[in-house]
Amino acid sequence: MNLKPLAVYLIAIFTLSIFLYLFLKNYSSTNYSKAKKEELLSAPSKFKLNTGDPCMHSVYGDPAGVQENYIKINLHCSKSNSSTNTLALEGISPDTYSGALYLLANVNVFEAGVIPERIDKLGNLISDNNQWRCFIGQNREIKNFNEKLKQKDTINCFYEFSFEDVKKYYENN
Amino acid sequence: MKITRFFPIVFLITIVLVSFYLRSINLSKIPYPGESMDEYSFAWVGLSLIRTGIPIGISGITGYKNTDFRYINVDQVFRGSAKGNPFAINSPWFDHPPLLGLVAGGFAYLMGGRVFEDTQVNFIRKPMFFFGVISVCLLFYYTKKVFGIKEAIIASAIYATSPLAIISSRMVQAENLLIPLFLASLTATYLYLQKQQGALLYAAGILAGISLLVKLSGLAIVLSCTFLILYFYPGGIKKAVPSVLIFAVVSLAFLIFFISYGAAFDFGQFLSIFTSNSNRIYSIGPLAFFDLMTATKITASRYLTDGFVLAGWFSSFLLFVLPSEKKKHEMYILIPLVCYLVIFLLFGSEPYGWYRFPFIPFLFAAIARILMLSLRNPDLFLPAFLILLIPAGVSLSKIISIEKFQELAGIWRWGLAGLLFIYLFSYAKPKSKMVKILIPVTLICLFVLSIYLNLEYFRKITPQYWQNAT
Repeated sequence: MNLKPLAVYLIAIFTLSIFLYLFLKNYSSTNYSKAKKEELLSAPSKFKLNTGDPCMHSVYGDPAGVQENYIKINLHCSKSNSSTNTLALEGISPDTYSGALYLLANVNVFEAGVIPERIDKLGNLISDNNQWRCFIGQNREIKNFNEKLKQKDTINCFYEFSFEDVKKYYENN
Repeated sequence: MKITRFFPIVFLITIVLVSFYLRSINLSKIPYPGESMDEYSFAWVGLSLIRTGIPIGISGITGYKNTDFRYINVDQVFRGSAKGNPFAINSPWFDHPPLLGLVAGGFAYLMGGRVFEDTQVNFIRKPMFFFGVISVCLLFYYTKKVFGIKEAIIASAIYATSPLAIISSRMVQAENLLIPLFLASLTATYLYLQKQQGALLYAAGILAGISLLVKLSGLAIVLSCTFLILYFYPGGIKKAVPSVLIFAVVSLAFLIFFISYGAAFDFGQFLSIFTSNSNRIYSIGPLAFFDLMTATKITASRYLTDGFVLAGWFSSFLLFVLPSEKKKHEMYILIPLVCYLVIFLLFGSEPYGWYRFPFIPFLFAAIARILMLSLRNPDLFLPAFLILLIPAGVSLSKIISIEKFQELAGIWRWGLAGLLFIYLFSYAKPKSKMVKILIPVTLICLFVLSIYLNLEYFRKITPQYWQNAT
């Protein structure tokens, strides 16, 4: 049995594997950065078309295996147009109300503008005069969007709903 | 020059065109984007390797030091398939070797993808589409070499038109790259055993080795070629040993690339993930083999009933026990089938549908062989007829409702009963002219009908139909 070709083959494989190791080490040290990784994970797709309607999409389904570490965000763009979303807390960073809204905007493909005191806009629905108002339960309006989220929070954000409309919503749901 | 010499080429071209066309229909819609997030994960591993030099993908298995939970809404998956869970992102990702990732992610990169959300199924399924067509061609070529042109035509016709094969082959799963490597390596092994050329042995070994860089279940290919060499080598097992050793060294040497790859990033984590992978829960359970034969699963939870799979298992069992003029040649499909079964049962893990994909070409080749043997052996008329009845009946039941079927029920029941009586009669008088002509004609007609019903069944599979697929 002629073992010379096998020996040549094994030397080639071994040499290539060393080259692979060195190449990967060098390539990753040259190309990797936390910023690039973050870009990969969180930048929106250039192939995605933003929608002006923040209620067009929803994140359906209950996250499995998270027990009570989730929140719900319902957007009510009008009385007949709403979006229902459930998000696991572990995926929300920062874990604040504004963090949750920005994440939702990214996932549901609309633009969001949130400052600590209020929402500026969600999609094409501008809120320069507090048109967007968000509540945890009927009586607790969110006044500081940098507050930390709590487990099982259900956040309802209403656009151009009067106090009576909001009250009626909570009475019926 | 006889015109019949061109017939195999003409048929191969036809089957390539048919495969191409069928596999392109609803390529990015069925299965639904997000039904298996593995598809995106493989692409992310490749894209992240290209962009950052570090593999990043979805895992969640124990052994990773850090897990980052992210909502990455590629293809709008959170509107449907992905439910509300963020993805457990790990890096460096070591669940599987990176070759498939580099193919899928690399293709996405060539299409302009630069971030994870860019890796739409529209891009990443395209390489799998080509692998699927190549697999049909390789099955044709391998079956032609082993048995002959007629078996090749039958096997590749089934493989090209089976709805299960069409839809399963487009998913970005490692098994869909393992299949063409499997068939190519087996072909090289067959040619080596016929011609005794060393280069062919090395080719078989290299192809088997490459499969280990796709998924470690590629070990089935190494095992299959090893056993084929031991079984078929002229002069017996003792004389086969040097070839087996060379093949084993050539193929298994590729594992050093995976080890180098792991060592380049984090060898401790690489070993930890390897250990975790080896200790996965054996969820397939003791029913695994029964499920394999009777439940044609395609994703984690969705089934697409295809009668050709059960027909293939029955054909394989028959081939094991049947004497035939080329009995030993049946081992060219039975050995790979059993070797992959060994790996399937050994590795276990979750009962995902894609783990079963590599069985499909060999099951269809087994049907082809049984059909051809039955045309020459009256003892096989009835078994072959019953085997073909399975896919014909399954496809028919998917095409028309039971209410509409009532219009055909009379023809069906009396026709079947009549044919079965004729088949029984063939045992009493096998040399009768009627038996010699009628039965082969009915078998061929039933086969052609099964292929036609495959096409009709596939035509029904729209995205709306897929929602309730069983």
